[in-house]
Amino acid sequence: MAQAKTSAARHVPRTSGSRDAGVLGTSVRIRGKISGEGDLQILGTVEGDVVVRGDLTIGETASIESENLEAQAVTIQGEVKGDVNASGPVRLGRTARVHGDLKGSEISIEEGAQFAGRIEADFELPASLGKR
Amino acid sequence: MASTVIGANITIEGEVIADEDVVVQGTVRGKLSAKDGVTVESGAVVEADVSGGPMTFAGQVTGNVTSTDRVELQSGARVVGNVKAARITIADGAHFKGNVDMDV
Amino acid sequence: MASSETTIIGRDTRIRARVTGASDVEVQGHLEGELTVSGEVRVTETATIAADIRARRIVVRGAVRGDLNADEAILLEEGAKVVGDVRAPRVAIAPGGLVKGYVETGHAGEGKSHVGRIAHATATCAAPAPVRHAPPAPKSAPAKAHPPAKAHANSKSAGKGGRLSLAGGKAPPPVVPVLKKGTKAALTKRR
Repeated sequence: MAQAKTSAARHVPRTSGSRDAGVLGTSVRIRGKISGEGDLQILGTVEGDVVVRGDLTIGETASIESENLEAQAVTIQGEVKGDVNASGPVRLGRTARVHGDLKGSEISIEEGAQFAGRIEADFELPASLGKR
Repeated sequence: MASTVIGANITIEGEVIADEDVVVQGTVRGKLSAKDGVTVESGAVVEADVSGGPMTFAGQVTGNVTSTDRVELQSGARVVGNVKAARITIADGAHFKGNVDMDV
Repeated sequence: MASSETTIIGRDTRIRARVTGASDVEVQGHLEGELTVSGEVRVTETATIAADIRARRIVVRGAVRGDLNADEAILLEEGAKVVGDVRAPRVAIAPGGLVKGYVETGHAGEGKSHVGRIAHATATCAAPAPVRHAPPAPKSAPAKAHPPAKAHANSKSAGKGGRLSLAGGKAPPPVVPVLKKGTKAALTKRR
């Protein structure tokens, strides 16, 4: 269930139970935590954590300021300040502007994206490179 | 042919150990040892002990040279150091200063 | 400009050295030490590198333990395994490119090659006019972080500290200033 307080008292679509995508439109501004069961696409402005069970898409027009973004697959085309914790892949598109740490099953960044933060993929270096 | 090529504009300061041919066109300072051939081309500078198989020098080598095969100094080569090799050829126009030990 | 000769460190070659120069370098074997060139560095699938790499452009498909800094771009392709920081105006990570470290786009890597090429991209952040002095650096600029030292040996670890916080004062757009709370990446993770 999506729960959020909007400064403009807008009603946010619920995404309970099914994987229907919820969409927060371009003009939506939310301050508060967003959580949901399904997929979520954010095109507007959010100040607060976003935790969804499905996939999270942050569109080019979106601007997110958060401590934690959690989802399965995360696709970012817009602006994000905050750490991303995905159980699936994290993809930054060319127009993404992200400042925060990324965690996911796979991280990809398109050339042209702006990014600053840590990436901790799960792998080991070959033995010949040992410990520094 | 698989080989390591150290290009003309590159400087390596340290140790090179190769299980393949090495062609030096740039600069190597330190140590160079190859399982196979070593070629020091004209214009190259090697300030290192060199060990390996067959060697061809057309550039500058300063250091002791140990070859399991033959060492060839071509015209224009400048070699300063002791050479230990089964065979050695010093062409007309090559400069060489050092001892030669063919008792390998 | 890169020389037409590409230096190739073959698959069966091990180098423990400082490698510098003005050309492209392709590493297929093992390199331990330092690699600083003004051309392009290609790290192939078979390469294992324990060194910081500085170049105009770096394309990685192999394993690297070290920091990557480029004047133009860094591409981590499928097969890349990098433990270290990655900094360049443009950074791309393909699916299958793996990294553990701090990654930052929008700024040229510190420590250009000793040949001293200054890519135009560096002007955005690394060196606005006052190159040599520590500029009226807003925050913590350890002095050596700023002048993009042409002596690559000195600049080996320059530029690691606090670039983003400095950028708050004079920076190009890329990232918005420091978060209000908690996002550790912004402040504490940078060395």
